[in-house]
Amino acid sequence: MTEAAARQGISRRQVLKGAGNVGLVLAFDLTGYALARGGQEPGTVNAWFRIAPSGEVTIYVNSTDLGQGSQSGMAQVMADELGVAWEKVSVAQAPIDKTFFGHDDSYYTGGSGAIEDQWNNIRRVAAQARMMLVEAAAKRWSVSAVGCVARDGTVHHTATGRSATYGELTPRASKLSPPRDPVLKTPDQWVLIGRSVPRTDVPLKVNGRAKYAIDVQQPGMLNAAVAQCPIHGGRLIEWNESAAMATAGVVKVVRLPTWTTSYFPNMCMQETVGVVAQHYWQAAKGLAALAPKWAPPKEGVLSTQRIFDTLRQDAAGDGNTGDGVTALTVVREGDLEVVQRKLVDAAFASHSRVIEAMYEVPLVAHATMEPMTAVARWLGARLEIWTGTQAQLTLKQVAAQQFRIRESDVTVNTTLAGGGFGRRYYPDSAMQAAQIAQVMQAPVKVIWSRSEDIQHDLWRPPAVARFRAAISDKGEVAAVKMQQARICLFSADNRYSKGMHYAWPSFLAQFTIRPLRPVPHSYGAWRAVEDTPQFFFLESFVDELAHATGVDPLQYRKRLMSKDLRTVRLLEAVERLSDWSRPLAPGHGRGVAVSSRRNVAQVAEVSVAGNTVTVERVVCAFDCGTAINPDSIVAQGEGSILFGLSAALFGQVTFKDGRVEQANFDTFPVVQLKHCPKIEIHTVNTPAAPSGVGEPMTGMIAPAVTNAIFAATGRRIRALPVAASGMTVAA
Amino acid sequence: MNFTIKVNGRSWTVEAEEDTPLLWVLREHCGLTGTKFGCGMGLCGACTVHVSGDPARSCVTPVSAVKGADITTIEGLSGSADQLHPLQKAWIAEQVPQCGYCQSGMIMTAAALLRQKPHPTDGDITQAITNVCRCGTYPRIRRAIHRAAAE
Repeated sequence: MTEAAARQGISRRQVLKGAGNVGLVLAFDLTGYALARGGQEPGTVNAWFRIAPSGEVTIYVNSTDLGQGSQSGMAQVMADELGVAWEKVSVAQAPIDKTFFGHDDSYYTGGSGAIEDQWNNIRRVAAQARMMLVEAAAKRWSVSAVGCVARDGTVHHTATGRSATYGELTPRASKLSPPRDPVLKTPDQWVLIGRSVPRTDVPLKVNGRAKYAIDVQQPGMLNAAVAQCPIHGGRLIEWNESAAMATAGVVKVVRLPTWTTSYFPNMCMQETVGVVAQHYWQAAKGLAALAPKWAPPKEGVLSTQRIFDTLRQDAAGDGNTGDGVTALTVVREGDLEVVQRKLVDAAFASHSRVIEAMYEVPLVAHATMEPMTAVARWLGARLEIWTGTQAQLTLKQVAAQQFRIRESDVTVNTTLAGGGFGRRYYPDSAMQAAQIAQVMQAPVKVIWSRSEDIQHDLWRPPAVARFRAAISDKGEVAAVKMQQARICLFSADNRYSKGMHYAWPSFLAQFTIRPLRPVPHSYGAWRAVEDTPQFFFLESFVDELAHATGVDPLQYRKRLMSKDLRTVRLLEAVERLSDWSRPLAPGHGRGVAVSSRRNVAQVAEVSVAGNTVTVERVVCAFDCGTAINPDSIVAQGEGSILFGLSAALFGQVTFKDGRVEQANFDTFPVVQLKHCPKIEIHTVNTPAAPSGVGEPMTGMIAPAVTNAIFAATGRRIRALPVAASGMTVAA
Repeated sequence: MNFTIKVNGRSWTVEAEEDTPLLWVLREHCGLTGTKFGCGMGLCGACTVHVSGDPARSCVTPVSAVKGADITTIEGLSGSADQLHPLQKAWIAEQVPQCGYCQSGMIMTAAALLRQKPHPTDGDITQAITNVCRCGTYPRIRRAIHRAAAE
């Protein structure tokens, strides 16, 4: 974990697990990895590298391939430090063993942390391996290691011209003790870091050979289709088991009870019925024949209207909580709450002009392309799981907890994941596979239908925020106060306050969190977690203040962050690259959004014809610190923007009579190629440590687009998505 | 029922119910798992294969409807295991895939487009590629199709 993250007082893992109650601080281990061990097996220098006699190097990485490129990126960093050619490198998933525990002393992929949090440690283990290879060569030649140079998989002794390959040296190197203080390469010595080398995972993804959980095959494996109670919190009341069993290939109908786990306080598994068959299509047909009927819970059903009525009421209040509601106050980094409260109260008491606005974001689904899928089998009391999980260690822990077995009796095999975005942090489908496999005493693959995937997601939680600004007689902002209402909040600590980068004379943010009652349903981390609600709220209101005070929105932001030169440079970059000051045709508009915490600025350009919006162009400037793989960063920028754009334009999950109204890509539309704006990613390299790249560019696009729509039309969209605001999106 | 289908030049006799979508026959009976399940309603295109040269969404194509037809999947696109189709080469050159799950369907759709229109315009590409990608690889898909067309 980085020092910066440590200062934030909350771990990424904690954020992803979700805190119904905020302010908890997780104790984490800053000592980093256990010292890389000497080779346990022939061909290993230390646990992270296997070097074949031919010089081929396998690098073990503790990150899941979700498409974000961090396996390849980690390997690129480690290969550079080790001193091997990229062509010789292949990547393998590291065992789920303490040796490979990374950020937060766990084994998971999330929070854009694979490289950002492990930057020092992965270079350290690679440098240790390199120094052990050099020492092995020095010993072999009875010379001093100082005169030896490691390069391109070979150690050279400069004075005598001798050389030996890593492949030759590995058996001897593996018997040496790793140096305690390995010397890391300096940036001028890097040959791979900073280069757009081809990603290791790409070739298998163009010929159909990449293996995801859905492709796992085990001898004697059965396939299961599941239906989870569609009225959250309800129960199964009627089903036609004989019709299901009469379906060709069906071998069993399985009922699974509702369950929860202390590891994920915001996850509640619904009552489930599964049909098991030889083939998946038979299972799906059997499930249709089973025709399960469900009764709503006594407490009442989920209602979009009621969720938002409650949140609006809480947002309209003043942090006045009531039963079971958590209240939390956040100030900007460096501010004192008691002082800010006084200043804000005084400003609102003395200035009568107030600008006020209320914003809303809906629930959204992840809708990964591969629906939730897992394979499980039991060997006696030992459980083996195959899935594209983002949280290997927690999956083991949850399985051990639920089945009352030892963690060491749970084996998790990580497959490629057909999209993650936070969704595969959660153990639901893997646990279903394990439950059904236990009943069947055979390997079982569970594949969720698309409707199960959307309707039983751990959705991005809904949020409502009310902003108020007191305006002085001179027309300047004297105070800003935000009241935000949530059902579930992922981290509103200093991570959030660092996002509150505007130098208004006073600022106070209050949150109320009203937990999951009365009906249990699930919320989860959705790409960039809190960024998409928080930056939509903040960057919309900042825009409103700029317009209300008669200042250009981009200049207004620059002025208010004038002390933050790194961010101002990003604003200047998008100002220049988007031709910000060049007038546009009528019906066109530009909008800007920026985050100093994420070091991202974006300008969106839209055109609006009648009521129909087209997002024409997005310009993004991103300061990622040291760039590992520039092309991969651009790819993540494109992907982040389009993922955020799907939610901004279309994304919403709503309930009718307690049932989710969206079921597939027709009712839960996402951005397609036809909606795709021209995207320009401009990366700014600073000599700082690398930041993660999978998340930071996600949260700016919604406010950039709605701010652009305002610029084009004078119409302010305060509730997402755009398509539910009375506007349509051009096809 | 028994069906004989011809996939990537090879004949298979499979035992399946006649309404079984081609997708599941390919994946579970033929072991050709490169063709993916995404939506089950022909909406996302992850399951796209060629039936008699035309792109078909195999999740809504019953196996009984493709008896005797020549079916091509991603595994057979290049015609040989150690060769790549120009689109596959372009896909690597442009580093298109992220998670990769939708890419078989994307490439099969693009291959059908190039067969019809060897030099497609941006408009042709927009019209042809209605497949869904959640990772947002669309800009690179467009570039890769143009690249393959130029070669």
